[in-house]
Amino acid sequence: MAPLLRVDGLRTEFRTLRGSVTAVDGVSFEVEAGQMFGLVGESGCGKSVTSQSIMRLYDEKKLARHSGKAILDGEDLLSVSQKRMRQIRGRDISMIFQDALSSLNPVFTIGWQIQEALKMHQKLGKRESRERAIEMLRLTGIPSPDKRVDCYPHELSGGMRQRAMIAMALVCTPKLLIADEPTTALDVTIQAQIMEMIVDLKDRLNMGVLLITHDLGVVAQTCSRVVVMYLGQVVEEGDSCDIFDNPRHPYTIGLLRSVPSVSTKKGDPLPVIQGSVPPLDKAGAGCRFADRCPLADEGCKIEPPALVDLGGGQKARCRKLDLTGG
Amino acid sequence: MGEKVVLEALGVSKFFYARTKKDGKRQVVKAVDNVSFKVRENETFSLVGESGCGKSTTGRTVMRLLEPTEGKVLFMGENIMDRKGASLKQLRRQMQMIFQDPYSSLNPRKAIGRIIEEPLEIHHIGNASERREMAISALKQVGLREDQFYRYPHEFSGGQKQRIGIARALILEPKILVCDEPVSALDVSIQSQVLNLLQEIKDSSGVSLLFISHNMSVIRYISDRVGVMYLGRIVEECETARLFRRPGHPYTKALLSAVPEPSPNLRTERVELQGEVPSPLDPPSGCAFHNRCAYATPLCSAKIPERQEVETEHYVECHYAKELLRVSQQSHVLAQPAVMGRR
Ligand SMILES: Nc1ncnc2c1ncn2[C@@H]1O[C@H](COP(=O)(O)OP(=O)(O)OP(=O)(O)O)[C@@H](O)[C@H]1O
Ligand SMILES: Nc1ncnc2c1ncn2[C@@H]1O[C@H](COP(=O)(O)OP(=O)(O)OP(=O)(O)O)[C@@H](O)[C@H]1O
Ligand code: SF4
Ligand SMILES: [Mg+2]
Ligand SMILES: [Mg+2]
Repeated sequence: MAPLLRVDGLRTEFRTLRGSVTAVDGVSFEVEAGQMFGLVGESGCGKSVTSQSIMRLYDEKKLARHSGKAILDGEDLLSVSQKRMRQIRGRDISMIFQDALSSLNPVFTIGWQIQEALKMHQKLGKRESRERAIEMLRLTGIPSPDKRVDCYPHELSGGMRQRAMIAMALVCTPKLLIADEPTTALDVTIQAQIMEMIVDLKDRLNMGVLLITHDLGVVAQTCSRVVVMYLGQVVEEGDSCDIFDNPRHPYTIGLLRSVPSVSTKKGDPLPVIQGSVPPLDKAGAGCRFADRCPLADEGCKIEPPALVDLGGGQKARCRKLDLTGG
Repeated sequence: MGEKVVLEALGVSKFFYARTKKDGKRQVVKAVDNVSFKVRENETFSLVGESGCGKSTTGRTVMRLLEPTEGKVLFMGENIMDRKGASLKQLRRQMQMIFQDPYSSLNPRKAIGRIIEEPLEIHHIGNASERREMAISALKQVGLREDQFYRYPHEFSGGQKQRIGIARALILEPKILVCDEPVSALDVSIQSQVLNLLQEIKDSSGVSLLFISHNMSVIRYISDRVGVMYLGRIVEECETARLFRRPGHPYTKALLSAVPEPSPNLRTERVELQGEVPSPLDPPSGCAFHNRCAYATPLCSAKIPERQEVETEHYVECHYAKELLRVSQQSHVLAQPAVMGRR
């Protein structure tokens, strides 16, 4: 069966005052219907640019240039017209963000905003569409939705606003939900509730979810498949169990070790990844992780490694994979 | 870790007063409500809890950056509530603070060497060349290089900026360092570097840390003892390993169970929390947690639970603490079937 979304060699270049930078460089992955797919990496690695490019949200005349493909249900999103894209957005793909306040309009009630999102794609009577808004709020776990529907965003708590934004994103039952750090601004207890709700809705609606986050814990607990990005490239991909139990790329290994976990002994120094992520334009010619990598040799600095297929659906972009196995 | 108590909060409260838009009545936010704790010599005592529970306000009040509404703070056994002017300034030397946001806490127009030197100038310590020497050695202590002395903050990454903030706080050789979410704005790979640095400094200098964070994994790693805050109160206080193994308060249990472990095989059996965090303007009666608590009885909404010592040095503010502790024999982290479904 064809995947719901197939991203193939996605590349996004930005024109900036200091010349062009390639923020996303040849990213490929596939999301299936009903699957929770995690895109992880540290700040600036290109997670948001990947998703916004798929959604075609950049100004393509002045700012961004895309190449590659992003095929949703047989249609290449990167080559359709903006007019067609407006039909697809909200109906076939929806997106939610970290900051609900910036995607909700403060001067309208949340009910009105959900109905507005619905109106773009479906013709329903006033009564019906209000019913549907209430139903969506109920589905996202908002208590007494028939009352909350008439609330303004500022009258809701942070967790509640996030739920309202999700209700708005899902009102047209999209096939794919892109969630960019949906719980990063929330407390852990609220985060757990929201993630559980997203998993539940994904199952009910058989929706594919592309979950973007820097939180490895959230990915481990919710995603079946993961892509790890570093400086605009995919460095490792695989099923969650493989990535978390048997990571092969030195960056993934370092990242997982540096999070204090139940098994970390108190008092022992935490393992670290040396240095910090360099700016995009300072990335070397070879492996982009070379100057921080404990396994790097001279060859790594010169020769860019290919994404190597390790079998079982796991891939890693490294020249030293013989040293990272087991 | 010594037995000597460096900092002690005794029944500290900090209330803020706000006027509502609707009827103009004065409303009170009990940001910190009757909080007591001790930080011992060379110990890391942490405050953990969700947004708005009063962690930062507690930190700022015990440092006397805010005046407490009630209670007192002892530093090295001495009441510091009446300190003013020069004597307060003298105290500040021994209590330093680092903040969450490494971006806005450094003056962008000053070279970092000068930023680090500044506290020495304020306290008239040494002459210009001695101050420079001290700043350079502080710079090295936090893992930066001497030749970076004349660089400006924008030339440094987030983790490096946090190091600069730490160097500035340490240059006066304080007895206690209050760290308010020092790694929350940093990427994980950088976060571990900064945590190691703080641990190293604590081990080598004998400083005590009052560490504030909402991140349970960070708290578990760095702290000797932990105070869990909920709506302005410390609802549980305990030695770290014991707290994580056998929490006594229903809120601590729920909080621990919500932490996503970075391993698909470790499933936490989640303790459901009902409802949302109540508004601090209108906290519930009795135990402030009763409206979300799975164990609550009518007693809970009627009476504020007292702080009880359920085991040696393990304090819980819950009417049923002893009973709950008995049933929570095992860790909440069990390799149990997924609660949060996958696939
Ligand atoms: N509009 C833009 N113009 C130029 N460069 C950009 C633009 N948007 C993003 N970038 C650059 O692209 C890179 C990737 O950014 P992106 O926002 O995708 O990171 P991210 O992985 O989402 O990080 P975070 O976790 O901080 O959200 C960064 O180096 C960023 O500076
Ligand atoms: N200057 C102030 N005036 C009025 N209310 C305040 C003030 N400072 C804090 N508060 C309130 O006091 C309570 C505790 O705030 P505080 O900043 O101490 O929480 P926190 O635990 O540090 O939260 P966070 O994790 O979000 O930093 C909150 O309800 C907050 O709105
Ligand atoms: S006192 Fe009652 S409401 Fe409060 S935590 Fe204990 S059982 Fe729950
Ligand atoms: Mg982003
Ligand atoms: Mg705070």
